[in-house]
Amino acid sequence: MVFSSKVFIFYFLPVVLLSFYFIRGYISKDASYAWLVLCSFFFYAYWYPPYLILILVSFSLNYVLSNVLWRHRNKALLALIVALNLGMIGYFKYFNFFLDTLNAVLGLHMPNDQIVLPLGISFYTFQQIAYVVEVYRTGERAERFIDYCFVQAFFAQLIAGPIVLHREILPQLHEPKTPWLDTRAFTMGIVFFIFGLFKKVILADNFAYAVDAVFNVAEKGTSVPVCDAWIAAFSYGLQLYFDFSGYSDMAIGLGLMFGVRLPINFFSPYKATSIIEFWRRWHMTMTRFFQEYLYFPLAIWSGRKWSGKTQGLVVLFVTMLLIGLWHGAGWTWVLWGGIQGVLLICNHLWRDLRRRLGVPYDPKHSWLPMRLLGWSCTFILVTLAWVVFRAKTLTGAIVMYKAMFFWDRFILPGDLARAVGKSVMIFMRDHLGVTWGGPALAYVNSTQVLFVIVMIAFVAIMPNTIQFMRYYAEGRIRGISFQQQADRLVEFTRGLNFRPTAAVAVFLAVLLIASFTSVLDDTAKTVFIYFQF
Amino acid sequence: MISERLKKVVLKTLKLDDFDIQDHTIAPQVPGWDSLAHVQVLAAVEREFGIRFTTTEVIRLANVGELQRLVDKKTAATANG
Repeated sequence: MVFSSKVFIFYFLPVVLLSFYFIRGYISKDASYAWLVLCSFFFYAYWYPPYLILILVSFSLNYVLSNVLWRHRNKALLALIVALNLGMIGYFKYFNFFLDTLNAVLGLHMPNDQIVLPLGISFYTFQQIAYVVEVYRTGERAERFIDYCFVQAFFAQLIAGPIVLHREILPQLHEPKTPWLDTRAFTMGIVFFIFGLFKKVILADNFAYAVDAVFNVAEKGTSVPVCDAWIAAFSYGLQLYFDFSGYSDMAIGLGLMFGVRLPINFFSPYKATSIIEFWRRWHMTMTRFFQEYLYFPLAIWSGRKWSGKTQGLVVLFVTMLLIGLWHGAGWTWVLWGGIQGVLLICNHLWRDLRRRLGVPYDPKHSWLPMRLLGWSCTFILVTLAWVVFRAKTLTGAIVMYKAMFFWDRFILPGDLARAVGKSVMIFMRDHLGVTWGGPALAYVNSTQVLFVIVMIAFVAIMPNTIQFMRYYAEGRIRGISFQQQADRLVEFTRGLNFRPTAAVAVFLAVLLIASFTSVLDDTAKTVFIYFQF
Repeated sequence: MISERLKKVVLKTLKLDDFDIQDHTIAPQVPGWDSLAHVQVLAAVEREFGIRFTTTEVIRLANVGELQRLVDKKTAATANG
């Protein structure tokens, strides 16, 4: 079931909400959470019933083994449990990739297995790895299997995150003084859900047209005009952001509707003025997972044998490669991870250089032109990296990059020729090897260009959903760190925040109605990008 | 109380001339103390005091004060053991 589908919004959600609060009021809070677990299993099974068995086996095995680990704190057992989980995701997600790579390297022709990727496996495997490591590290565990299932399987975050940690969810289930219905949380939930839905079905899905049009051509090896390539790249960055942050908003909103506070996943990543900052704002729960469970342990362990800045950077690079691989079983994703790794390394080295030159990086006192420069560099580099993330094949990515940088055809549109004037045109033709001619845009139209420009300005300036709710939330949003509080831009837009007024209600209603036109339209093209993970 | 020795190690690793490091100081407050530097700091502290941390011990350190207490505990253990 997809959050933006009719069956979810008009059937599943209302039924589950009503039954949840009924059980919560007339039976017990405990029973209501147990009921949510059952509903979540139904939610999961709705897509492909056989894999419900797989996920139940995974949960049961992990829970039982974690209990053994809790009683006998044994590193080898921990390693075994982690290996079993990795083995499971390794088979379902990476087996065919592994075979294909072997085939390519050794010249064999081993056929692929027919494997259907279980929905959400990347998320629920990693969430369980986090749980078992925490059991080892802290000796804290979920006392009851139903609690464990709730944290792992709550339908709001089961399929595509946020990746939750037990220590942030479990206490919420056992708080004695929670009311039957937290009206403020419920209101927030609705707002988050409406924002997320709009971001997904109106914004993300509409960016998809330009993206698909250009990338499909590039995948075939046909070159595309320079403007098309850039517009498609920017469109994809925006599509991916609105798709995934929209999904995360909906997830947080659904959680709040049930009085559960899920951690935030995005915090205006396209406002970042450095790549380092970008990764603190993009897919935050994933970054947190990799930092706590891969980067830190690996860096500390390897830091004993080999210390120094280089060691830290190498571990960082390896971590980013694995983050790339986690996103998809394919070399384009690993390459994307590698690119992000290189960008981060350059960022760290740049900060080092700045310190040596006497102008150290200080986020509290940075010069506006430098921040603007940092913002533009970051945004462009991230966009360029998204090209290889989106391209299904290396060929497609290369075609896109060549187009974006005039590699083999220095062709400029005929319209531009008229604009610069005859003499400039002739000069560029004769002395710089420019060919004039062709349309400015072959695969995208000017409306899509305008859409991109407007939305880039929007994500760079406007507050995000969480900031929009900050005066109303009263502590109901998890995961805002010390660093994120310092967002000077948000001061300018502080008038834009949620208040339970008629004007805001009308605004939300408009967003909702617009979204419904897409939800109710069976022919509307919609794909949740992160479902493939 | 943050010992001079610990403070020196931290400042040296972060290549800072001086910074007021207190019990309640946290990494984001100190220039250049990001997650990359954090690992360097921990490794340097291990070397300076001749101790070894487990990931479990360091992963949840809330501030420098907790790091100091952890170091004190481990150096006492090494002295006695």
